[in-house]
Amino acid sequence: MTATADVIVLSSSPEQQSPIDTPAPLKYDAQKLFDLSPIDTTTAEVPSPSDLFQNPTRSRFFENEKQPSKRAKTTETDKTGVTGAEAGQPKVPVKKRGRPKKKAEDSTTTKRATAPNRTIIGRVAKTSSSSLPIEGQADKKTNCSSTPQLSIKQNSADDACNWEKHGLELEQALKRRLDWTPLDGATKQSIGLDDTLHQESNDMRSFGTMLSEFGFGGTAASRAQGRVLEENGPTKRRRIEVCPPDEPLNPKSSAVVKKTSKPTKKFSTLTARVTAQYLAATTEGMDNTEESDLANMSSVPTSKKTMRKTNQTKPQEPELVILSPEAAVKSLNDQELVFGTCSQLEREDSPTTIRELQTAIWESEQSLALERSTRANGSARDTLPLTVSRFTASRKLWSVASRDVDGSVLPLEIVDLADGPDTPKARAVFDKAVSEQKKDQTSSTTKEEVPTMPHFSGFTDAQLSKRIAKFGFKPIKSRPKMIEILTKCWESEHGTAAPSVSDEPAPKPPTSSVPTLVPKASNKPTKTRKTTTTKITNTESQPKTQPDTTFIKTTTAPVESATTSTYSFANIEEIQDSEDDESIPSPSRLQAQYLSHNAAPQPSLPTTITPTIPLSPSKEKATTLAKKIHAERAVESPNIHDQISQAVYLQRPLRPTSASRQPSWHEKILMYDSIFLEDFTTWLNTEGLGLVNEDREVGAALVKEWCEARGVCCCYRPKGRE
Amino acid sequence: MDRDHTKPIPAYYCCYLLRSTKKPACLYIGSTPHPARRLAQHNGESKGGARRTHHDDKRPWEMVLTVEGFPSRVAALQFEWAWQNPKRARQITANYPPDHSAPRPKGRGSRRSMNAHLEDLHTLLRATPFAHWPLQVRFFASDVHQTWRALADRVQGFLPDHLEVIVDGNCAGAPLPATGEQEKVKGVTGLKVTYTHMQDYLDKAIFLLEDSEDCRCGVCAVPLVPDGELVVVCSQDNCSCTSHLLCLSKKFLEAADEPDRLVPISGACPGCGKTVPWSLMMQELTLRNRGDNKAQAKRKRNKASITSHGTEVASGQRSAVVKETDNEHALMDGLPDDISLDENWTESLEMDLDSKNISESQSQPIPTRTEIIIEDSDCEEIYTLD
Repeated sequence: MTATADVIVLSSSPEQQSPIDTPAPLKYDAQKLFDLSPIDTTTAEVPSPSDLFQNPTRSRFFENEKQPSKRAKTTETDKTGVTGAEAGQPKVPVKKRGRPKKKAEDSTTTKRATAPNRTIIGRVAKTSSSSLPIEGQADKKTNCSSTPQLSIKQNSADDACNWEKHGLELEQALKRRLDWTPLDGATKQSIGLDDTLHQESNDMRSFGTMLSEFGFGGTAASRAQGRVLEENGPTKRRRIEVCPPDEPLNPKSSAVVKKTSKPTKKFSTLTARVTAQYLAATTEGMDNTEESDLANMSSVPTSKKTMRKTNQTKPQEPELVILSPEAAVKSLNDQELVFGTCSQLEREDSPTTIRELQTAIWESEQSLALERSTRANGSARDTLPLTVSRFTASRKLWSVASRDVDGSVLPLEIVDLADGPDTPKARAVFDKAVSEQKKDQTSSTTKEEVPTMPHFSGFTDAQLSKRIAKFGFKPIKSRPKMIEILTKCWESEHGTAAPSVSDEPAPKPPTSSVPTLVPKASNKPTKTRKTTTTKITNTESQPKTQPDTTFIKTTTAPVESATTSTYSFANIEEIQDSEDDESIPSPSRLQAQYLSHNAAPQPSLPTTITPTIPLSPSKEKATTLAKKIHAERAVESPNIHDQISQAVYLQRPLRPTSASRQPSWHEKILMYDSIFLEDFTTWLNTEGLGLVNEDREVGAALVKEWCEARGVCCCYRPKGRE
Repeated sequence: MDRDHTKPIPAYYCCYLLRSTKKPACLYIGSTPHPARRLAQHNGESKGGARRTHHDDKRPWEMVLTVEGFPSRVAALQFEWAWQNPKRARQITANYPPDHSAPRPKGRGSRRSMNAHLEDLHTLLRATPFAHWPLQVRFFASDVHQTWRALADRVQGFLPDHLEVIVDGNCAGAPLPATGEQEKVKGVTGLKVTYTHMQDYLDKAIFLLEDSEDCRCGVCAVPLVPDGELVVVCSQDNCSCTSHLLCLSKKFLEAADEPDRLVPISGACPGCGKTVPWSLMMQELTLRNRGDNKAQAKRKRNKASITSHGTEVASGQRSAVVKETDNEHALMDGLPDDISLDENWTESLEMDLDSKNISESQSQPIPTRTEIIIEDSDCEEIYTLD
């Protein structure tokens, strides 16, 4: 229904309004503006039956459109309002300013709007002809005139009581169509049709309703004709409705405007909406100019009226009605501009929301700015000299900028911060500024943990391969692998070397970072301890540097090593203490700090454990990594292939074929079975290589190499099966 | 155990090179366990066949050469892939001088000449995994064989000794040794694609092993336990030598003096002293030993009625031998079996190929062709000369 209503609003405006207008002007205009609207008077004189029909139709129409229509009387004005709304859409925002204050203005606006309606109609009419099919699609009611009964039935289904109304609706559509055409000059034909329809419809009751409608339509058409004949409709109309601004007194009209505002928004197409706005605007402008002309030319009557209005409702009107130049300028200045694409603006139900949004944004921005300023001020206050404050600010920026893609902090940063003159000062004021500096501290803490390792992912392939070569690995093709290995190597190597690096950040942390650090730090060491023990037992993955024997020893007593590690670290920390004495409050507290603190940067743990540390981040990864590394290394050593062969040969005694029907690997190979590399590799790693006292592990790639070198048909296990 | 491992070695599996009789420049590489059936598919005589061979202007196709003796379907598919993708196959790219490989067009669309294909084949047969397989090359077209010989003279490097080149079909002029005369099958339809030719061998083996008390390993002289152990029976008709799989292989390998080898090609039977091919014995062993197939194979064997020349014998790789009148039906029977095989095997192949590529180099695009391979077991490709 709503959709249909919308369409109706578009198409119906000219003629319906004209009859509607007639009563409205009759009430008010007849008194004042009679001379201006001769046509209207004629319409008013139109025989009563048409009016009878009209009223219900309108009321009905509006009920459909807007259920909240409370006043039956307003229907007439409503229609004017509807038309006005169409034309006056652009005004809507302007009105809204005034609206809250007084409703009287609206009436004037509506009347003006009606005048533009004419023009609009004239223009829209062209489009409407094209839009007719659309109506047909959307509206069941607006079926072709040839099938009125069907439409009536449909309508009857809706409301049994209002036969006439239903019929009217249908006919309204018909009229509209007809009306539109008459404007172009084809009115005669339409009239004839209407007449014939009239006669026919008189016979049947259902047609009676049709009759009424048709009669009404006919009258409208005749009116239109008359207008056309007498004068050019639109221009005349304009004048007529320009005058009516006298009727601000009607409170109803304002309500009407409210109602009308909705349908105006419901233009079927975007272009229609947009163009309608501009059309209205132009008409408005036209009206204004006309009004001003009127005011200038026939200064006496109009000015009086306007004066009255202004007196009555000064605050609202000035924008809408004629303004004094100053007022106009004022209003212009006061005019708020809402920027946005037309679709955006249109989407918003009211400009107020947009405005509110904007204000909200502005406020938030301002608050941000305030925050910044306050922060800057606060930091300045804390750190006293201006330069320092600036430095801190820049430091924040630095801390942000120095992060790479991964979010880890670049090592360069730390040096600057440590050397920075602000740190001691900040420390002095530390107690005050704790809250503010926390953020910085957190960042600094992260720096402490990560920074020492060079960022391998940033290296070029050539660099990576060089490094790997330096570590004595066979060149690896895949970049991530290289990075993995390098990180591992670095971790294992720098386990001892790390403390030297950690010296740099050390001076800072004691001052501020401790409180935030404590939980993290406490968590981490425990984790690492567990993982180290488990890993060692699980996969005897050894870093290169360490011989097996020492490794086994370390596994036996991991807890001890952990404890010792904390102590040793504390010692190291003490060295650092000597550098920064100022901020240290009490030795006990310091001790606590260090105990918690040293766990975080693990590198300083005793050397015996260091190899295991790199494995800590995640067990599985580490194990796989270790495997890979071993595989790579295994490739290096020439005899791993032989070892595999030996393992295959040796399998037989362990597992006699008779026991289980499963053939050994050797037998499978002999029987040309295609070997699943996964299975074979796992067997080699778990059993096979153990047979030949080979501690290394092999990867599937290596095994594949081995297989192919010996003509063994091998393949990876297909995904689907296990 | 996996299903794959429960399968016996296929009776026949080959890669083949098709050539259009109408457009001799159009070539096509495929693999199949049943060349006759497959060729019929290519020529539109039966359903199936690669899309590339569907053009009527190229039909009929002729099979100019086959590479036979693949011990498993995976093996055949791997070889096929390598042959189809000489650009990506490690075996070939490694051997090609860089200046050769650089200008070679990438991708599947590369159209290559017969010469190039033969060259690739030669390279592949010399390359690592394939050189150890019990393969043989059979030529059906004399002109192709001519080019092959010319190529073999030109190319540096020798094919492995065990690799037999059988001149067959219309290559009349070629001098044939006595053994070669045996192997001749005169045409694609004459290929022994079933286990039927092994029936006597299989029966003998079963008979020998039924009374297991007498059986001793021919190598280590330890009594055999046929139910639990893998026992190899000599393939010679009149030889009743049985031995442990591992014992015999060890003996063969020692005799061959190839310490690096795991699988022998052939060896002298400790019983009769004649040289027996390892692959044949393994075929029999797997056919006899592989679980559920045993009964089936036996049944089929009993049913089997061997057609005189074996034309149009339709069967899966499991030796379903049927009369000619039943061809249609048998085809239908054979197909689903084949298809199910396809899925499994090609999957594994795909995995393998993927991994291959990954291991080879990350930079190379992962071949999308493997998927095509999956679709059609004999997935092949036409290479045309322009």
